[in-house]
Order: sequence, then structure tokens, then C-alpha cells
Amino acid sequence: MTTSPNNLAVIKTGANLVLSDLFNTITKPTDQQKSAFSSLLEQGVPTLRTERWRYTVLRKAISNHLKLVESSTGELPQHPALTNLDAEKVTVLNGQLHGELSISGLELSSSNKVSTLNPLKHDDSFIDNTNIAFAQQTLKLSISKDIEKLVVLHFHHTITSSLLANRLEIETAKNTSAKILVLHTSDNDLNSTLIPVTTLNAGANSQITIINIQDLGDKTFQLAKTHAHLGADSVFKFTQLEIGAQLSRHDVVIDVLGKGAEFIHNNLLHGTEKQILDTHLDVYHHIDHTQSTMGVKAVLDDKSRGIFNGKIYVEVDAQQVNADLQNNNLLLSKFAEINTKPELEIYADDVKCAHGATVGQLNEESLFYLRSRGLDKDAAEKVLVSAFSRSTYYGHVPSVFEEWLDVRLGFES
Amino acid sequence: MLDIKNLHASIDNNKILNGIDLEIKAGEVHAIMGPNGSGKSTLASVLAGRSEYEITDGTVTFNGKDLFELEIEERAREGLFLAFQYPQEIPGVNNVYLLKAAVNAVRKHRGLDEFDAYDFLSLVREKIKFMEMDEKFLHRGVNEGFSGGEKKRNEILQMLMLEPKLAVLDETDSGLDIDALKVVSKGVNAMRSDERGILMVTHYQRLLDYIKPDFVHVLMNGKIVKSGDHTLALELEAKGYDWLLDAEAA
Repeated sequence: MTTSPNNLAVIKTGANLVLSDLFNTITKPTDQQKSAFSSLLEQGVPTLRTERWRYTVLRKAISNHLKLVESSTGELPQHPALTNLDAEKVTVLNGQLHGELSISGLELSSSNKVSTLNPLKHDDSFIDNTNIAFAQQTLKLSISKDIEKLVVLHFHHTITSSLLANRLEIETAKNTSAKILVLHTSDNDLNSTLIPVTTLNAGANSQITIINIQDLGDKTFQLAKTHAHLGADSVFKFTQLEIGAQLSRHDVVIDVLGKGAEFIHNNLLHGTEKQILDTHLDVYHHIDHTQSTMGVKAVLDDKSRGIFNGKIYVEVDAQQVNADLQNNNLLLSKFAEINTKPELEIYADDVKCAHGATVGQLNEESLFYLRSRGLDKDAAEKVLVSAFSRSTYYGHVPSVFEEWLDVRLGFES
Repeated sequence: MLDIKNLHASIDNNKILNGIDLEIKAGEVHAIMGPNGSGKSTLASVLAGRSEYEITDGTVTFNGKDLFELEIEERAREGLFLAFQYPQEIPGVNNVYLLKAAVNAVRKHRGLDEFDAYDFLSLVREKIKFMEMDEKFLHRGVNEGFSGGEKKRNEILQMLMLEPKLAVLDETDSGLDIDALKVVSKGVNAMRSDERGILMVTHYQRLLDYIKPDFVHVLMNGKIVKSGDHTLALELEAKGYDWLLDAEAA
């Protein structure tokens, strides 16, 4: 045993050992990395026994063939939807930033210093600590003006059997607005584990949209986290599309901190084959007169599994909060599975909060109606599945991405 | 065009249709009337291919083909159209998208080229105007949030676009106010032609004031108990159905 003899979990599970061995290969870890790593060891990799909503075996993502990325090589990716997109684009290939953003009011820099957001009611998670312990650099995106052009960060990964922690910290000054698309891709068959963390510190009255598209290769693992602090009157629109990966866990934690702030969330978990797509969403309303609207959908085919745990938390003095969380799930095969738990935890007495979940199959009556108009069974099914799914991305992503997603998800050829 | 012989159908072992014989020739308009539970809507559903009904006996030939050998969509492409009693709401599927997909599926089957976008839209605009509907309905979800009358008009709009050989109208008049009834009837009358058959299933005689049928049949307990011309409908209006039941029993 190399480290932390006072922690039994380390000895018991192999995943912790793998992380220890990996950490020992870092030549000069910073103090931040060391401290994150020691917290990580104290926690251990979460297990089905320790997790709050226990359906995903996370240690599958930490297997003993993993190595850290030593040098970045590989060709810059050409993504079909990005080629024709009018946007400011940069690529992060195997953790290495390529290109630069040249717009006034926007600064992208790379640093080896991590700034974390105060977790407040939320515990520092395993994903946070792993990310900080293994992040080689942090990308900092500061927005100081209204940015009209879409900003694209394309994270692409090509190195097999590697563990890579990308970190993106976004900060918007007050009265600014920006729209950022973050695309995560990796080569198919790439058996690597990616641990991307995005933080957002939204200044007062800023309007920010983040579109996060996870389309990793079918053997890739992802443990992701998005954490945001929303200042007064800020609006954060977060569209999350989970399409690829063998296993993708995404923790989304939103701290609504300033009066008048609003969080709007659309999420699609689109699973086929044996994919496991897991989202944990926690929205904390710390203050009065704040709003959140969350629509999470899962479309699961074959033997894929979806896991969703969404929680709206309203602090005792946070009166006049308006919050709505809906989770709708469509199962397309008898082997597909969804485990969902929307929750409310409310300590204030003058709030309007709603939550709900539905699980269903394709509506037989709708299928009959479409077929009675001449559409064959396959076409009718496609029409219904696309109608269900598209509400999560139509109008929320650039139109080239709408078209690309239609093809990627098999709705159009 | 449509030849129904000795048709028996049941659902969950309940016999609903007990030997229906009916022939509809091109150019004819038939009305089937009957009290609640007589099997009117079952007949329409069986013709369109609803799977929950079991055909226990009899045959239906449509344009020389065995109807029961055809899938739901094949029946539609062959020219059978069912106007639903309760049209389905399908949120997220554009009305105009469905119209276009449906029209092109039928055209392809008939060996015609798909409509180009311009021709298609001009045709839809013409028909939607004829049905006195707002163009905004085209861009809403199929029947989504439509009133009862709007849904029925939308069914007729689809029929006008698809130009079926045989239209089966399942209680298309029920729940309509008089203005909507007039518009729906106008749509149906516009479809009357020497090449087309129409089968109206209705509970109320009122519809037949606007669409005058060539034949009226009375369906009771899953059988046609009386057939006649349009005056039979007036007789039913005046006397109700009981006298037929008595006559049948006698």
C-alpha cells in the first residue's frame, strides 16, 4: 500500500490503488494537486454503497491500464458540424490548447492554478478532487463584454488507455452575455477515461448559455462535473446532450446565489447498445426570488441504461422561488432501463416548486395514426422518437448542430 | 371497390361484428347508422387495420386485394383513408411535416414523383383555405391543443390532400357545432366523385342533411338489419331504432 494507511477504502478497492499509482507518476504535483489527492483518498472512489443514487459502478471508469498523458500528439479533428459554423473556435487536443480566441472582451488563458467555487451546501465530489489532482492545466475563460459570436471549445482525445482531466473555468463580468458550445469527442474504440470539469461564475445580470455536447467514442468513459454560481439577475441556460461514451456520469451543481437569477436546463440522455448515461443534477436556491426550469429527457434503446437524480433544494429564507423539474423517459427496447428520482427539498414556505417523472414506450395510438396516413412502421417510430428528443435541442443549439444531431441520432439520413 | 362479406370481428372474446355484408362501388356514398355499441366504429377500425380486433370470419376485398393481407400503411397507400373519431394529438410532430410525409408516401406508392416544396405548399395553402382553417395550424403539432372541431377539420384537410379512393369517416360529425359541420361537409362533398367511394359512420342524422348519401344502412348488434336510400335516415330520425329491433325479433 503506497499511501494513506489510515483509510481502509484505499486498501479494499482496486480503483483507489490505480489512482494512487497514477498520482505517483506526476513529477511535481502542486500543493493544490496534493491536497485534492489526499481528499480523494479520504473519500475513496464512490461505490454503490456510498452513493446517494446508486446505480452506476464508477470504479469501472478507473481501470488499471490507465496512464497519464505525457505528451500531446495527434491530428486536429475536423468535426462536420463545426466546419460550417460561424464561430470563434479553439481545439483542446489531448489536453493541449490549439488556436486562440481573438475577440475583444474575451480572454482564454491556460494556467496551472485551479480556482474552485465554494461548494456551499454540496460536498466536494470525487469528480472535483480527481479533476484537480490530475488536471495538468486549467483553461480560464473570462468574459468582460457582450460576446455576440458563438464561442466553441472542442475537446478531442486520441490517446489510448489514458486518464485525462480537462478543466475549464468560465467567469462572466456583470452585464455581459455569451454563448459557449463545448464539444467533447474521442476516437471510437478509445478505452480512456476523461474527467472534465467546467465551472461558471456568472456575474450580476450576465446572460450565459453553455451547450455541452458529449459525443465520445463508444469505449470511452467520462466522469464530468459542471458547477455554477449564479449572481443576481443572471441567467444561465445550460443545454446538455449526452450521446456518446460507454459510461458517462455528469454531476451538475447549480448554486443560485443572487436575487433574480435564473437557471434553464435542457438535457438529453440518448443511449444505445450497452451505454450507461448518468446525470446527477442539484439546484440550490439559496436566496429569494430566483427561478429554475429543468427538462431532462432520456431515450434509451437496446440494453442501454439511464440514471437520473435531480434535486431542487430551497433554503429556508428563499421565498418566492419558482422551480420546475421534469424528467421524461422513453424506453425503446424491453432491455433498456431508467432509474430516475426527482426530488424536492424545501425549507421555505412561499415557493412554487414542481417535479415529476414519466417513463413510457412509444404511444401505440400515435403509431397507428401515423401509419394510417401511409408512413411505414420504421418511419412512424422515427417521427415519434425524434419529436420526443428534438425538444431538448431544437432552438437550443446552432442550426448546423440541429441538423448534425438529427443525423447522429438517426432521425434523418 | 370495397366488398365486405360475412365479416365477423371480436375484441377480448366479445363478438362485436356478427356477419356484415356490404359492397361499396366507386362513386357511391354510404352511411352506416346505428345506436351506441352497435359496432359502427369497430367496422371503421377493422377496415383501417387496428390490431386489437380479431377477425374471426369473413373477407374484405379492397380494389381486388385482400384487405387483411395489407399492413396499416399499405392500406393507406392503396387509397383507404380513415377520418378518426378521436384524432390523435402528437406533440412535436409538425402538422405540415406529417401532411408532406403522408402525401409523398402515397405518391411514391402510385409511382409518382415526390412533391417539391413549392408545389406542396401551394396545394396545402389552397386546401387549408378551403377548410377555413388558419395557416398557423400547419406549423403546430399534429392536433396538439386543437379544439374538437379543429381536429375534425384537420382530418378532412388530410383527406383532401391524400385524395383517397375510399374514405371512411368515423363519426366525423359528432361534437361539431353547426358552422364546423358545414365546413366539414363542404370538404366531404368536394371529394365526391365517380372514382371515389365514401363510407360515413354516424350516430346522428343531422350530418346527412349536408352530405346526402346514396345508401343508408342500419347496424345493430354487429349486423346490418336494414338498408335503404336517404329517406331511411329520416325515418330513423322520426322513429328511433327500437322499431327495427322489434322487427328483427319478430
